[in-house]
Amino acid sequence: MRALVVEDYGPLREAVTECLRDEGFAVDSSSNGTDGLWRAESFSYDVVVLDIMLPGLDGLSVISRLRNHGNDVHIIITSARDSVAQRTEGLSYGADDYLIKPFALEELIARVQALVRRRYEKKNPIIRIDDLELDTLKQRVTRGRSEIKLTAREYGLLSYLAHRRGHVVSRTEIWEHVYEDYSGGSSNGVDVYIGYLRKKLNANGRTNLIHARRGLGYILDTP
Amino acid sequence: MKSIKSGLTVGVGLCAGSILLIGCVSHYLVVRKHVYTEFDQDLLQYARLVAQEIELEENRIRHDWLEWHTALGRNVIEFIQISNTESGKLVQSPSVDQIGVPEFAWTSNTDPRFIEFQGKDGTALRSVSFAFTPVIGTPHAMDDGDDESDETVVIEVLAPGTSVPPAHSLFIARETSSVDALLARLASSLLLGGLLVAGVTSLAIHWVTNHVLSPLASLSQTLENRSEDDIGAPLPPGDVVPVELRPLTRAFDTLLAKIRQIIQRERDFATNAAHELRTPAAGLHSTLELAVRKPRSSKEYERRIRKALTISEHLRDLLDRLMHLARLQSGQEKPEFESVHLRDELCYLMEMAQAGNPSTVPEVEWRIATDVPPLRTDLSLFRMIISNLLDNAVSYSPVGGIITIEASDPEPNTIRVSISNSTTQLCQDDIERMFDPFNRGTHASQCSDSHRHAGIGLGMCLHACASLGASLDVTLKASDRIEFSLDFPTNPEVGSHRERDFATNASTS
Repeated sequence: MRALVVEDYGPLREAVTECLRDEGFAVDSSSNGTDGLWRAESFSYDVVVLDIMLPGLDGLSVISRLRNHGNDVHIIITSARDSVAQRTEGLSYGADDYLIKPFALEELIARVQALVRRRYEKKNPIIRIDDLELDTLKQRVTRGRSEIKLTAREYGLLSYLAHRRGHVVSRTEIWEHVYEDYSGGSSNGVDVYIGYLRKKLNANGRTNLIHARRGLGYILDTP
Repeated sequence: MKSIKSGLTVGVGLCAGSILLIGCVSHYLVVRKHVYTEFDQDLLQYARLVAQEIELEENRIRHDWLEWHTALGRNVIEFIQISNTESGKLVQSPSVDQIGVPEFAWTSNTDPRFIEFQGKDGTALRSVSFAFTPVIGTPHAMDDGDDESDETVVIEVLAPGTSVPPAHSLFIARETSSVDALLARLASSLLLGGLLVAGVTSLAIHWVTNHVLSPLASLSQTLENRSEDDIGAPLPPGDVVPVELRPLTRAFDTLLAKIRQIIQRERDFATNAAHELRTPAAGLHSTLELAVRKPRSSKEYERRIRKALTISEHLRDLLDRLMHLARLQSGQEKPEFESVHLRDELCYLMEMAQAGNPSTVPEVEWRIATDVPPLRTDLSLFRMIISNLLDNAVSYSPVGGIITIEASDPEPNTIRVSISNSTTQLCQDDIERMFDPFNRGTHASQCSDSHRHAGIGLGMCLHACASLGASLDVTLKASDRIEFSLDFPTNPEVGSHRERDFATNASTS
């Protein structure tokens, strides 16, 4: 999953970014509204964590422009503006959630994951495909009764495929949603990580759940 | 007098009472004078009649007392004394002994003299006396010699052989009890009437005062009934309030508007301050929460704790600035003036600003006139203002930008310090909001996190300038240059300080 954090206060931006990365998100960050809007319009994010009082362009204007341009990315506002009117205003501009500063990171993560599930129409935080079980809250992957240890990128890749279960996901989409700043990877690199993931998931002669569609991409589903 | 109502009541009461008293006394005195005049005229007329009736027969005064006493209209006690002015011989009516003859009874003047006196028994009397010459009469034939001693007093007044009658003095007194009783009744009537009128007048004054002052009471009731939420609402319009109270209501409205502005400013300040404190608090919370989220090496823990410490220092700095701003706004902080050498101080502060922003190295252009006199100002406030402006200039200058620092005395009693720097993306709206507390302009994005400003620096500068009697103006030169201009008075301790008007002049050229 890919997230964008737009926050002008450095320590908070860094903390949120690190926490989301720990949760398996590929995270980009921005310190002002103008750059944040450019990123949100230029790349595909699963969720945007957005402050309101930003230099350059305020958060509400960022939301307004995104929605006017038909961008339906899920947005959670994090702001110190705590009155009912201010929260209502933020949501009426097109935000999907509102969190008041200061907040617990656990709550932010829970809300971000809820938005991701909503995006991919998943109600249950535990995604089951055949005997594969992906607990998005605990970031735990099991197959049968044995737990599978994955790296952060492998988990990110599996999580994205699992959320899009049954759909063919192109290499570009995977690249866009799993790699931060589109660095350290390419569409060919996706194939490499798919290989790593298959190897771990199919260990001990288990059924292959990741299927290649020539010229289209990959699909995670029952055989 | 503290109470208008009491003042009006007592004042009008005293006036009305005085008028009433003067009226009553005047009326009494006029009536008294008229009554006594009438009394005196009557007495004089009677005395003249008596004088005409007195005859001199055979050198003797003949006076028929019995006839007087029995005659119609003369049934009163008569106090009559006739005296010969030459021989001093007296003829007195029998009643005279009751009162005793006063010394002034005798006169040689023919003009009547009226005297008010008291008899020896305490009776109030009024007399008239004048000199006259009795008529020479024919001796009466005596019916019998017995009557002469009781009814007729005959005194030998002429010396034998004398033909011209001698002058006599007539004194007649009459009791004034009837007149005094009349006047006493009049006085009682006037007193009772006066008291009644005074009571009615008091009630009327009380009612009128209440009625006249009722708009004032209504106004105070309106103000008293106000809740905290509508404390700044304007008072009733002019047509509802009497003309005399309109200046007061206008003054109240002006005052209330100022209070409303102050309250709004306090609210905004509190809201903005709370907002500004929430963000670093959130940063601190998140950093510490992240640190304990999973086991880490001691070095990693140390790094995160140091980060939290940095945030807490930022919080402390922010709180210090807020407190400073609050003290400046409330006027608790007073300047201490001293002589400051402008060039040295500006150079020092510029070095400090550059040291604090090592990543930005703009070119600095100095334009300090050689004849600029030393500035008398509060050094700490001066440093706070200039540091803020220079820090902003250095922070927001783009790569290759130029900062210009000028100092001159363009007009008598004024020293101007201008700081201008290159900038980008500034618009007039940014300029107009530049001094709003917690406002961050579009150019703030160029600032690194380590120099992230709370947005209260320029607001503090403005208040500090007001404390120093200086003014601070900002001008947008074209679209890529901003200039802050400070006008300091050369001698701020003497003369009038500028009003603490925190409005600024923001313009574009």
